[in-house]
Amino acid sequence: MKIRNYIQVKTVEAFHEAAKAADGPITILAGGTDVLVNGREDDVYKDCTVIDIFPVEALHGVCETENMLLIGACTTHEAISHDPLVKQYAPILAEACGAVGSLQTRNRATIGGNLANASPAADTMSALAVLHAELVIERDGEARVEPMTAIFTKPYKTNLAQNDLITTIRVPKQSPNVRYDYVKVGRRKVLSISRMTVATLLEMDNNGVVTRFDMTVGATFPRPMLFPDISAMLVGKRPSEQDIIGVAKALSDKIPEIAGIRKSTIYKQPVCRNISERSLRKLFADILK
Amino acid sequence: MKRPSTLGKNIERIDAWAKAEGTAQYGADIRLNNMLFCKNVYSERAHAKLLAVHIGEAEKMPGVVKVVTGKDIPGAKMFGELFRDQYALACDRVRYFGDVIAVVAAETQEQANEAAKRIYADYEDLPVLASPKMAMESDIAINPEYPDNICGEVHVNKGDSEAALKEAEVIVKTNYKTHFVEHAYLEPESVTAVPSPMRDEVTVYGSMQAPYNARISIHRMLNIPMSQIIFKPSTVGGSFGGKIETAEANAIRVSLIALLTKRPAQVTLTRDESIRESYKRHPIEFDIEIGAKKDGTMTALRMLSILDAGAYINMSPPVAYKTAVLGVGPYNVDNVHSCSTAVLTNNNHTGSMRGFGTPQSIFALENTIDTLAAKLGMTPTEFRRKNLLRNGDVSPCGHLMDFHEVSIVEVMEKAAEAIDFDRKFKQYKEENKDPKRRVRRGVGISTSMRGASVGADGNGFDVARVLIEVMKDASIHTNIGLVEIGQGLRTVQMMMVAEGMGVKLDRVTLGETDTSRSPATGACIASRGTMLGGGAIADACRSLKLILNQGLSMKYGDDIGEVTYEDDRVRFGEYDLSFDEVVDIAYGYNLTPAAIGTYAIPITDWDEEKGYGEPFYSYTYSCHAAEVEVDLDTGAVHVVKMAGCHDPGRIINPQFAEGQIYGGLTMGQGMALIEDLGHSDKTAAISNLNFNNYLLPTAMDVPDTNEPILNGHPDPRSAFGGRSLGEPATEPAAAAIACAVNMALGKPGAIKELPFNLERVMEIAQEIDKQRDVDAASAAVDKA
Repeated sequence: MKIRNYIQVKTVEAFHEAAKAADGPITILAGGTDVLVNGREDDVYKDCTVIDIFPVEALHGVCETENMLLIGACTTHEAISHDPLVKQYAPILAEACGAVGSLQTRNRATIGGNLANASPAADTMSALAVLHAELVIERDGEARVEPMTAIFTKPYKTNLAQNDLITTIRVPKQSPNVRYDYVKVGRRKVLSISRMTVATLLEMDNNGVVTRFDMTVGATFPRPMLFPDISAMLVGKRPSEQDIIGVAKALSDKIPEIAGIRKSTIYKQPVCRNISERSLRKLFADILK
Repeated sequence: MKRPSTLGKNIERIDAWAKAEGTAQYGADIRLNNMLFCKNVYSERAHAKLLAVHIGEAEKMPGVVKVVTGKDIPGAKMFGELFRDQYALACDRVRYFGDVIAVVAAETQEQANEAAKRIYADYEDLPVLASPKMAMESDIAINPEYPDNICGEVHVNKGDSEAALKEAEVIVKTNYKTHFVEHAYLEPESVTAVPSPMRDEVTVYGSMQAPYNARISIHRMLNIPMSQIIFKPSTVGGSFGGKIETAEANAIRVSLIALLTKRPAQVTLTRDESIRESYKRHPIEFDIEIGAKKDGTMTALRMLSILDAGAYINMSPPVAYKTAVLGVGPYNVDNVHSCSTAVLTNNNHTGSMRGFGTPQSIFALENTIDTLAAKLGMTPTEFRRKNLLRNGDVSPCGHLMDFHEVSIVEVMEKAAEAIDFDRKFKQYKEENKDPKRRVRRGVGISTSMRGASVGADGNGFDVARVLIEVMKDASIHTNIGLVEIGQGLRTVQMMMVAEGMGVKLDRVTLGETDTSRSPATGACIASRGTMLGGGAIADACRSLKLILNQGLSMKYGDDIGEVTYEDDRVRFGEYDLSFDEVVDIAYGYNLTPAAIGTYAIPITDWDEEKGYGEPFYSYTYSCHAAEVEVDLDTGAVHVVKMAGCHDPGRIINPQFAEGQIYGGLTMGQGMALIEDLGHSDKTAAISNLNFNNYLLPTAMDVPDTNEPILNGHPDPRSAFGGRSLGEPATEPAAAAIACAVNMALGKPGAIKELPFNLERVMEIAQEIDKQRDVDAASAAVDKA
């Protein structure tokens, strides 16, 4: 692997300084599970200054505010999948992080790196989308907050500037009443790039009327997406079998609509419909009785 | 009284600790003073005339010591064991993307890699023939010696299959297709050549399983005497048949560089290069037809198969032989026609891979049999019970099976029992009728009989040799050129030497494989190491005992009578001597207790023209059973359990045999469900060149409950009673999973193409859903 320069930083401030000082393009190295693979034989990083942020302690770990979980961008998927706060307040994210690659990958790969790499097949994206997660992004010491879904432009591309650093993933804490389901379809049980993920998050009142509903498909669209029209199909309703069938159909119809008809559509559209139905039946099992 | 024997015991592998502790030396571990690092430059075309290779720029790059092209090879330009049609360095033509047009040797690997990027060639494009169909229809010959691109054809004829199919009361006619499969040895090819400072001599180290073949090629191509080409294979990190021709081509290239530069030279392929250059398992298309009487008696079998040989002939004719003669299965059927045709294309060449043409045919045959059984109203086991071979039957190729225990029925029953096949078949068939059930369960079973060793297409040259020397300290030193490729062969060879000499195991020592010390032997291929190596060991032991007996006669007189070697003792008349004493006596009379043992498989009565007779000298019987869950919502297949029962003759080391079976089941699972090279039948390119895309089953995908079952019956046709297991251990596995998935889907024989991945299974699941909706609608109409 050829690079122009390698700088290891221990603080976010040091990152900003290094980024400012860098001459030419910057590549941010977090867990390295994408950068080291991409750079293995080709010369893709030969002009880049590689800034290694993995040692920045402030970017590791999960803490909480009254309403939010704050996940450091360099927190590994394995750490998140076992984190007590995440398991309590956003268990769907713990599950999605646990579905990533293998234990070895999860021990290195970071959630911030996963987002910045912008692979449409990233396992965490559908979960973060239905959680309405936000990102804290710093440039030259100035922080801004953006919805997670807003940074992606197309597969493997974000609108982040090269001196932008994702520092924190802000995840609204979910009440214990929130129901969720996360399904991953892969070609094998581990070390598998998702063929598809389906993430669902919902809440009901005491009468079984849906008060909040988000459902999306990952590894299918060019970027993570939320669908207000799908949410509207159930909010305010006590869902019936027919509603479930309707939602699953509407969600799976998004595939040709958004991604166009591809070779994979023949597979993905019916599978999306099937697993969406299966997820919703499971989530509404008590209501449908 | 049964005397204690080393055979049948779980003796620890002699290489276990070295491998576990990391001291074993693999090809790429080798580092030598002054060694050059090499980089291959691959063709950018699948089929083209090679007009010029431009190396000038690369030669000027820092650290570059030598760049070689085809022009630098002083002798014959092509190699090949059976057909010499393969370039080690392309000269006038490139025939696939894995052809090498130049090799750079430099002081460091990085320098070699950089310089290799500066090499380019002028090509004149030729049409790319990316499938056997294209190649057969084309008037372009990939190899001018084979104008129709057909490089092998083998047939089997027994009875009159055409007439029998006309008379059959029930017939199934169908077709199947299989894909390229990668060996996926964990260690990519690595070869190091070291020149002698004294003479034109080269010593070659590295990951290879057929060193004597490679020695012949270097002799022919580099014009040095065979005695001055020494192969010392390193510890092999996986092979499965794959460390032959590709390793050989690389050995030729680095030997050329070593001889030209007088420096050691090493090439280690990256995974991408290994997958790009190496040969694969043959993709095969089958047309198959089976006829039966209403009572379930199988009366006729026709199987036509077309194999994709790829760019070079490699082992395609003998693979076609096994597809034709073993593809017809272990069934008692009077009328058989089987024909296998191998076709040259511009794809990766295809050759030896564990199973050698049979995992494909077993997949086709066993699924057709399940279809037929269903049509007859029989279960898979009922049909097989009725039609499998018994002692004294005549095999589908015409072999009278009266020379050993034909145990296939027993083998099938044990595999079936291990997964409770009959009960589950009934239960799952019933429960799968429930239209609401989205995860369906299924069981499948498949059988095989595998010829031991090469078979009649190698009549006359199937030989093994060994050199054994009893040392003065009464240790028994063995030099044998059959390579350890992970199966435990070396330990088994030592066990057989101990048995052959009637001594305790710790007297036996084994030299590292070295072609300058061990006499030339057929390679460690074709599941022949134990049987052929055993034959040679038994022969050498007989000779050694005669030499030792000679010493005894000199001391005790000519009338000592019969001498027995048992329990580490030597007994004759009233004497009971230790082995050490007997060795002392021999050396005392200046005798030389050293012997070369030779074993050649007897020539069998096979009529190639008629396609009838004895295609092999002996056979191993196998049955795999699989239980699966199939998710109709996603097309995902979950393998719940597999059982593999085998009769490989005498089980020499049960733990090794079980290891072979565990590995074989897993290899079959990968082939069946997920392994896919992403081959394009338009451009002949492979897109999945690394293990991120070429998916293998992980430890999480393989059931913990997989069960190996040993059902050995010592074979009177083998010196120590053992036959073959390496290939039998994997050949029925993919078929068993396919049968199980089809059963779960309620559509016997439905999956026509490997691998049956998410998409292919989903396609059938959708058909089921459509049918369910149609049925529901018509039921509603009826009700109305």
